Amino acid sequence: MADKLEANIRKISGGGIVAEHVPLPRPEAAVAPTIAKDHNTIKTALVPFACWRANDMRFEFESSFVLPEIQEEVGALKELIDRHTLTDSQGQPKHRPALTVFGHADPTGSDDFNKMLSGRRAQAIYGMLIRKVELWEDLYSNPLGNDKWEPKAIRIMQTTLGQPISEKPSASTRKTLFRAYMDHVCTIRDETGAPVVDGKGLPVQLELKSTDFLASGGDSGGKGDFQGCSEFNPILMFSQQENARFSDPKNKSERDKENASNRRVVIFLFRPGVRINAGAWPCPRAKEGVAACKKRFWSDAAKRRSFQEKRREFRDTRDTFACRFYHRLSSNSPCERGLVSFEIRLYDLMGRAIGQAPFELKVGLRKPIRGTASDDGSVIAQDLELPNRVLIDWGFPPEKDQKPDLVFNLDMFLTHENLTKEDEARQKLHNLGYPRTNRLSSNVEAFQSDHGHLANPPLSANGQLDDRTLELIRSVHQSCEDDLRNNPPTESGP
Amino acid sequence: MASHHVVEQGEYLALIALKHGFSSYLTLWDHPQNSELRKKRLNPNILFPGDRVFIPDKEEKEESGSTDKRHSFTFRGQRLNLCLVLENIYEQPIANAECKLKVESETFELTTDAKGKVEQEIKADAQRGLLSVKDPHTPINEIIIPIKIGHLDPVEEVSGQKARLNNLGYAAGPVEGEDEAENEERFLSAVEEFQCEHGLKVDGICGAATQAKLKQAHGC
Repeated sequence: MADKLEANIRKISGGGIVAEHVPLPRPEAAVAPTIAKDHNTIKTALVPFACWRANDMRFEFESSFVLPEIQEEVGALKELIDRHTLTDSQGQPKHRPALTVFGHADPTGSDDFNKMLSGRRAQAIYGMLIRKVELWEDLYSNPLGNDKWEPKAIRIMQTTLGQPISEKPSASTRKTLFRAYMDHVCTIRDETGAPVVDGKGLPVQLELKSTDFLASGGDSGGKGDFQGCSEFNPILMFSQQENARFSDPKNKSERDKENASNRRVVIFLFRPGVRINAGAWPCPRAKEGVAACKKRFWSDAAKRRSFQEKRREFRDTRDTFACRFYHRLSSNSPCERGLVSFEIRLYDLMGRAIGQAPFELKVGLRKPIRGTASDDGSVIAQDLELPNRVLIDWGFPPEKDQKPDLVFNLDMFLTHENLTKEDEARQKLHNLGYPRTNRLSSNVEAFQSDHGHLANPPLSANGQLDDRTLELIRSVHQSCEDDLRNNPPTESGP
Repeated sequence: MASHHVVEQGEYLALIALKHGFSSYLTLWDHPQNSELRKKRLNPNILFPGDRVFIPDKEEKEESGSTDKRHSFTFRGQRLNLCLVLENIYEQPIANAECKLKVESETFELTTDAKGKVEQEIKADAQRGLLSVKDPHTPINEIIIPIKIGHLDPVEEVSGQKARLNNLGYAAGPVEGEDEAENEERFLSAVEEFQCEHGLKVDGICGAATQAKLKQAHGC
């Protein structure tokens, strides 16, 4: 999907992106020889050189709680920071790059609520990186809407750490628990999942200081260091038609999934030594309202924020961000370019979705991504380049202290939409469980005999890929969720 | 024979004067035939490609005609002043910073004053330079800024607006556009950001008020 090389992408996982921006060369300064009191002012600019993004799937649904799988992205962040840390003559780290964290919500609900929610996710990430337990305690003890850490977040933390589950732990227990969990998810692991140890045999972790952030922790509310952008900077805006359909409460879950790419946390990294004065930073604190955000809006922000005739994506139209300041920081950033994402539902052999299914996803030659599906068994893989081959292994949620057994697997081909109808049928049938290794005509015939009754009049099993058959393959593939429920496959597997 | 010189990109009056054998650009600038140009451009070092400069006959060139002046003319020894003010991202001066200014074949070691200013006499036909600054507040970073002397266009022209916005750190895109849509976005964004930070109405249009403010913020 990358139309031109815009950046050096270091790592893409289902959970996020780590990348370096391709620096725009500073244009030569055109100056005039001076007479009288004239002068030429030359100002330095604040330009990030790299970015990090954690996707929605790294957070508990509608919550600011960070899921354990984020450790993969944390590892990539450490690599990025280390690579750009300046060392002294003894090789000791001297100056780290400066960071600032932006949380983003999707364009549903009110601006004010989303401002708080996006700020809470930024706060969770910031707190985790500098081990500021009080910031997590604040999120825990002040729930916002569905962003409640009790009991699920507590349970996930205890399970992850192999501790006994206890409801409503005391403040002092929480303090220890949060710290241990932060350390756990910030521990760097090798391919096998074992902690990487340093020369002294201690596990290597990513732990930053408040002074590693852009405003050096100078403001008690974190101004300049972490902030929420509310729903002002979506990378995807629905068309009017889509929005109308999604406004129906019964389509809420579909809308939430479509909007997943908008819910993200982005960190920008600036060259070592760069620092700002919190007072002069345009973004309001994570806990402040939207007024200061609106001062930085594009003059045509209302248009940018409205649902238009066509669906718009930032990577194509570049007009979905309302905040000009954020747009300027991120316009050259691969983290906001938005690659392809898709959703996979994980089923058992009876066609029932497996909530919380453990999975391992392999995309092309990338390192496998491990994670846990949502309560309805769905996994959203983001930032994929096409065409690509995706392999997924999954299983049932393991018993306590047991390793997950990934008993199911499937491989899929993801491609652009403009395929020949044979290729399209081959791939869709493959995804539906008719292996690609079979002859297309036999798969078509098997499909016709399995699903032909759904068409009106029913299709005969003749192995011919005619328009009506292709139409049915498409609709079954699209709605395979409902279809699988009604017609559980018996032989071909999930 | 009297003639007209059509200004090209990068030409400023002192350079044009030198090309036509005049030791002082004032001979051209103050000439009655150039009064229109003087009114239009105000600054003899900020001309626009296509501007026409009247070049008088050499007979009228030096009123005094003394041997000293002739001497300096022959050696093309005229010097020109270049004044730069360096600021950080929050318009704070980069004060007491060590700089190296390389102009053509000359290198000058300079230190900015409390207001971030450096001033240097350079050759009147200088075109290219390179400024490297060591900001004492960011001990690690050396800022390197290539400079094109005499290439600043008048603020009334889009190219002049872009150049000033770029100097002020607003990343308005290349002065000579390439990829249109993207550069339009950069310019619009830079104009709005400048307006926003300078208390102007934010409309993305670089009109008279914005131009005036831009000229003031840039210093010329």
